[in-house]
Amino acid sequence: MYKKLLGFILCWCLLLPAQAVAAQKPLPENAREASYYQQIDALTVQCQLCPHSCLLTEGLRGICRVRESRGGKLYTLAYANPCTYHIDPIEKKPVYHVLPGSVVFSIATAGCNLRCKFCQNWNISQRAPEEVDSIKMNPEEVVAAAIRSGCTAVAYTYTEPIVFYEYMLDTAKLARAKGLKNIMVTAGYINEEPLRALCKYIDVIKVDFKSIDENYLIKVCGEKLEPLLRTLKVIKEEGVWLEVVNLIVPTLNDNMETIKKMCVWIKDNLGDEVPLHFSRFSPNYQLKNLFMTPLATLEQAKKTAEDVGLKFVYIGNVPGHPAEHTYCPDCKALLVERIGYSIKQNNIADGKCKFCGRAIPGIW
Amino acid sequence: MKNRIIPLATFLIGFTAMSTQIVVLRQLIVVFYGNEISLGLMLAAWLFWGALGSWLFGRLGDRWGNLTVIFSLCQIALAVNLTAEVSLIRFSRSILHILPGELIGFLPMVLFSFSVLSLICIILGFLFALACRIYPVPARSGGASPHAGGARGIGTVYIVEALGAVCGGYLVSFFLIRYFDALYIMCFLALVNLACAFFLSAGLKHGRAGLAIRALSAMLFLALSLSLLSGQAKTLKDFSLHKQWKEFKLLAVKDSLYSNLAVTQQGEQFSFFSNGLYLFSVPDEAGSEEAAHFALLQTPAASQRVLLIGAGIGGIAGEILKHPVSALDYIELDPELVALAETFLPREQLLFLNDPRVKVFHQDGRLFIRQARRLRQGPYESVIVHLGDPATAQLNRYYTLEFFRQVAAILGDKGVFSFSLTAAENFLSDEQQQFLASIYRTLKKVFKEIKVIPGGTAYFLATNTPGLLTDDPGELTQRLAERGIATKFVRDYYLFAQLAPDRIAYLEGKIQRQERAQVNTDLRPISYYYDMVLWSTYFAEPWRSLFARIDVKKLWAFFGCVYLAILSWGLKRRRTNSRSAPVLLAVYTTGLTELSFQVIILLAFQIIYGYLYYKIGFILSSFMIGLAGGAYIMTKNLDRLNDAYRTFTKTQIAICVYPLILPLVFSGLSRSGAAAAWDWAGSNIVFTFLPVISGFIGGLQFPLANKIILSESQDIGRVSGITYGMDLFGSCLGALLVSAFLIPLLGITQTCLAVALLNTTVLVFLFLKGR
Repeated sequence: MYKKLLGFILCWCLLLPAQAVAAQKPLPENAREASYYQQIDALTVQCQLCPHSCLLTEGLRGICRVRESRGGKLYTLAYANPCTYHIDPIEKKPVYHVLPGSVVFSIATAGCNLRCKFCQNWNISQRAPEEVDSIKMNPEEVVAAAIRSGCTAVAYTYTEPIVFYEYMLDTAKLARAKGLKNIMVTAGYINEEPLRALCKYIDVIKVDFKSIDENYLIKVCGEKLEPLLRTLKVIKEEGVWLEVVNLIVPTLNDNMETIKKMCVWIKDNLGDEVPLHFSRFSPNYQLKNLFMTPLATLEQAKKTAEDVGLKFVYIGNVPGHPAEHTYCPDCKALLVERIGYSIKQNNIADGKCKFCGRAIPGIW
Repeated sequence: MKNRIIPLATFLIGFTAMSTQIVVLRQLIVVFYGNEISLGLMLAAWLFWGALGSWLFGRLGDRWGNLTVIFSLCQIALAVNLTAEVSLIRFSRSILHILPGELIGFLPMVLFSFSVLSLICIILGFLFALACRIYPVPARSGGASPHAGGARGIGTVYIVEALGAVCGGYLVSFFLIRYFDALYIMCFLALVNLACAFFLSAGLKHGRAGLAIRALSAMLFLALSLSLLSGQAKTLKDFSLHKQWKEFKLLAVKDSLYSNLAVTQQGEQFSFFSNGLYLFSVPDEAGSEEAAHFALLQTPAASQRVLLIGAGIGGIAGEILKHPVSALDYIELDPELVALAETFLPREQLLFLNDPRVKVFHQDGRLFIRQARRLRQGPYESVIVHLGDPATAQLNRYYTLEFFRQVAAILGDKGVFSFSLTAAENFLSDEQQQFLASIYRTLKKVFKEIKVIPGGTAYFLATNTPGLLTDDPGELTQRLAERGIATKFVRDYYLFAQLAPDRIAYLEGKIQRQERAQVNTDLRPISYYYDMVLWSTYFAEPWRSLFARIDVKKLWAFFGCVYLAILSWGLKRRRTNSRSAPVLLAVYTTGLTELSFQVIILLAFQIIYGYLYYKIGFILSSFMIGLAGGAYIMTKNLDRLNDAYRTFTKTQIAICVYPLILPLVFSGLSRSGAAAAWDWAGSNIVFTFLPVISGFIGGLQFPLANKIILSESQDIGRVSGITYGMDLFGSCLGALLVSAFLIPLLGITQTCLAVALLNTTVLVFLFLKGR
């Protein structure tokens, strides 16, 4: 009896690899050759899009779950197959210094190259394209839909747009040609070369600067610090409009000393006029058992950033809070009054404060 | 001396086992997510090790010499483990490197539960087998068969152990848990076991061994007592709690009758946890405003009567009272939660408790609604359920077809029913769609009109007045203004963003088109299974798609294979002489069946009569009393039985029939209406006898099985170990399968049928051997 069982298990184990090979499905129709990779040998490639640099043998996928190695080539499976699209206020991204009150056409595909335990969109970011309901929508259709719905921009958002790099780039080229802006909402975990190529077509980038503490980044998000800092500097160098968001997760990255260190780095490397948003965490995904960020922590972080010398510091996800508004750094006048995603008044004319004439950085 | 101590020591095995089970499983739930699969898994781990301890080590008892020495040593080892157990569990988050507030995946949960419970349960299982060897059984004169004495001994141990379990269960769940920290209770159990080991060894003939055990137990007893008296145990308690709630500023932990409650503070924000699960924070204006105003803005009535079930102290009650409310009945099952809030929350957060319009009821929400009409509560213009997702069978009772009908019956003209479930703002996965669609379909069967407000939390609004509900943000904003209600979140900008037509269309489209989702009923509570499937997708583990793939057809196909395998085994073995195999198989399936009976009866009671803590404890005790009673009667008559196998087969018939009766009884009771006399009779008479009978049948079988197997083997330790082990292995499988898979997927009726068929197959096997 035992021998029979053992034999059965052995046969099954031997058959498994054969089954795996047989189970390799043909690539989906929308798959196309990826942009940044290096062929190592006949069946192995190394992806060079993001700092993970995944080394992939035949049939394997990268950490992002969307880039697959086949026959010595790397293919992206996240092209023209968004799993969701919505028309959102631009303030929702959050982007506060670009066309306040406008609406943007937001798209996302499945996949992400990070593993943030608090991800708000984990049910698409932590899935492969075939695991979610997707729709066919090529770049032309995205741009047409954005124009039809009265949007001023196309936003690549919800999941990590870096993983659908080729789709984003093609759409961005078309959108720009049609007079639309392009907004990338990203964690910034990308290599320099693809980022510089992308910056030529992207107007606005909002980067999640999750922390300057590498230990936190590795444990909670699955990323390293150095590539993130490099991304921020490159965006600044390329002249793309940049806004930075820091999601404060209670007990995990709410240390004021660390926040201060981050703010100092921002001031030294990105300048004091880059908008910094402190966002409120609410229980989600694998951190569903953690309470939301206390308001006092957010207010303390804002004060810390302002003490460092940053001029545009906001508090997000707390509608009705005075730190939602934009104030003139010189005359302190209220420039853009926001409540949630709506704009109550806008006192910026030609990119300047209506009251004292100071230039307010942004796209107005 | 020794002879008098051994029955006490046997009693203590059951007492310690049940007390520890209650305390330790409560502590484990605080660490892990408390859904049905995790609860089942912890119980299964407990039973598995107990079975292994009894089965593997039981046979050693036949080979070793002075068993009383080993018994005493095991008690000492048990005491040491008991003392360390709670701290070990509380340190688990540090050991496993779990972040504050992080949910734990299936694999770490399995590994940790199994490893942390292993030693205690193995020792307890071994102690049972040892007790069977050393228990003093008076010899009977007359025509008793030679193996009847052994079987009588095992039967007596089984009875005494069961009685110990009843007492332990009562003492811990109704008294100790309310007044003492888990660490102290375990210390108390350790002290009792050490004292028992001391006195047991006092009667030993072997001078040196006895002296050594006495010295060791006395030393440990004194050390433990001193640490309790000197405050070192308190230091350990505080340290372990600090480790468990690391990074959080812990204000208080309180074990109430219903759960382990904790309050933490972050600046001016207070957060409440129940069994380690985050309940709510105060202040949380967004959550409170959404829960209150989305519902109350729907009803144009000038003076509303509102019923709120759950989380009122989280700020919802205060928001409700901003409306023209004439009465607010607030149901909060656990009075300790309100007491904790009163201790720690700022006074302004609890002003509503002094409002004359507010009445607080500390009882089960379902029971309240069932009795509402009879007690002339209501009708209500708004019923708001705010209890979170149906993660357990108990919570699922608030999302079933039957509950929705009860709610509809107490809603007045233009009344609105509202509750919330976790959703997602930008995209709904298949699993989320299925989960939400199941509740939506159930709701649709009762209410004529439904609206769902999208967001990270989806708000379901339902009414039987056509045209009443609106999702027009302009209209809702106007109503806010008309009523003069000031809000921070639920107001113009928020409503326009939240109620954007494309988002409403997306959400409603997804859940309306989800065809696989099934209606959630009391007798087939499928929604908590869907919630479990959703939970499994949180973790990138290989089996995350496994739960989603299991369905009714596959389950029945699996059962078909099991039945056929049993039958073919029976046919193959029918010419052999041994009858042990079918009897042991029957003991195994009886273990599984008995656990199923417990789960099904408990769930049925909660469905029909609501959650009553004392009644739940009473049902569990009734079951154990039935078990002890059945074992007692059979043990008493063992000597007189000429054909134990024949009697065993008859008890198996009873086990086949009983599960078929249960659904009929439940169906009859749930249709009997809400008349007080029926309620009383059903709750107090029927639900006393149902567990007694089910325990009784199982109790009858155990001594019989021992007698039959002892007729083929004289090794009492091995036989008692293997029968007890099989019983526990069966229960272990039952713990894993019944509440997490069978009941939600098959429903109570089909589960009973599956269990009956399983036992019938075993009966056929028994008949094949009996001929």
